[in-house]
Amino acid sequence: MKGLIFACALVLFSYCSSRELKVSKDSDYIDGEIRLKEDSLNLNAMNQKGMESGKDSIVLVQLVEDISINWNNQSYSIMEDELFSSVVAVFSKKQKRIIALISDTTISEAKACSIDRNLLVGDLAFLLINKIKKLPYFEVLGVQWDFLEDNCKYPFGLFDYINNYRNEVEKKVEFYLISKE
Amino acid sequence: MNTDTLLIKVSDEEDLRNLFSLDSNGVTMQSIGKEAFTSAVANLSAEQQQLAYGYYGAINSSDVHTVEMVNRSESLSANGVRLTGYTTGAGVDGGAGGGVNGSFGSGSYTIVVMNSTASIPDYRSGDGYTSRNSSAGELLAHELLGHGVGRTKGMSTYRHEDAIQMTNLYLRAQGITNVYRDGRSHGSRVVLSKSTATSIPSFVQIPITLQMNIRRKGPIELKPYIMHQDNTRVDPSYLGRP
Repeated sequence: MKGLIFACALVLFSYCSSRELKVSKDSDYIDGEIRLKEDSLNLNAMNQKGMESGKDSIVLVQLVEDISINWNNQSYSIMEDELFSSVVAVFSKKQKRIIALISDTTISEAKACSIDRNLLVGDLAFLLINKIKKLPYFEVLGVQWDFLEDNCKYPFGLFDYINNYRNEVEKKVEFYLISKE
Repeated sequence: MNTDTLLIKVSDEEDLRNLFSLDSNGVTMQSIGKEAFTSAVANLSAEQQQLAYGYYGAINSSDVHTVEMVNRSESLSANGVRLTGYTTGAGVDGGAGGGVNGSFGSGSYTIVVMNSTASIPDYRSGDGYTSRNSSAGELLAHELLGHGVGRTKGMSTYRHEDAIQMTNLYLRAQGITNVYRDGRSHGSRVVLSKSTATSIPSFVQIPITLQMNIRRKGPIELKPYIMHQDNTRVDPSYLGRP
């Protein structure tokens, strides 16, 4: 078999589509779509960082008093739900505060591919900013993270860098976002 | 700069180019025969031969390596988006520094930005560093051969060293010997010594059995041979006669 293909082989990828496990109030999976109902997450009852949401893979992470996200420990991503929308709505107002969270090393219950420890609040703050503002890693941080392993969208080396240089990452992200305003 | 390694004669270039052709489906590369390879690379420099062997190995491999070449202004294919999360060439350029490789099954998926403007800052030049944009060829060697093939060959160094070494092999194959990348701004950011950074990954080194079949083409200038026993001088015109 010829080893090198210079185009997209659709067939090859037919079974590699991202499988995001979403959960509804009744914990039933509905065709891979987000069906979070209003009362599916009772924030008052789950106000601890990283508390497991029922028997599924969604964990609620409170980054700071008034900023929380739902994290999916199977798709390793922030869920695009009402919580996320509420953060997006206030992001520009709270941008500086969220950027400062990158230095927070509180351990969460969130897990990610390409790293064998739980994510810290600072990691999640970075990922939250990235999800909202689409940070170009190389442009912002100056490192060529160009290798993705096993369908993991977080490149090899990214989390180690964030962990080792939190203050620097914080400053660079802030500089980048201000420069884009 | 050493012009011996910089220039490939037009005829040699054609030989090398003819080595790579698409299959009838217009998508996959045709397998390359051993004799065709040894003949095509005969007059190339050692670095050019090693680089060509890297592609020879990738093309003849049973692993499937997919490559998507894009300009910054172009959108990625659906598969490229799905695998990398980027949507455009500019996204790959600003996010990953010109190219990206992801493992897929037993092979890999590479995206190369052909007009990358990402200025990579870890090229050693003398005692300092200099920044350079990567050409498409440099990125392809780095991503596909270094990361992609390195992983499928079971190397333990495919995440960082192999890719940096392929970049540096590419540069030397192009006759660029005054700079090399040390990896300070790549992946794990482990800084490689010059000797490690400029080594050639084992899976790209031409096996001795194949090397023996690579013979330079064209007229070879023979020098007089002095016999050790009695210092008899043998004229070139007599050398090689039965």
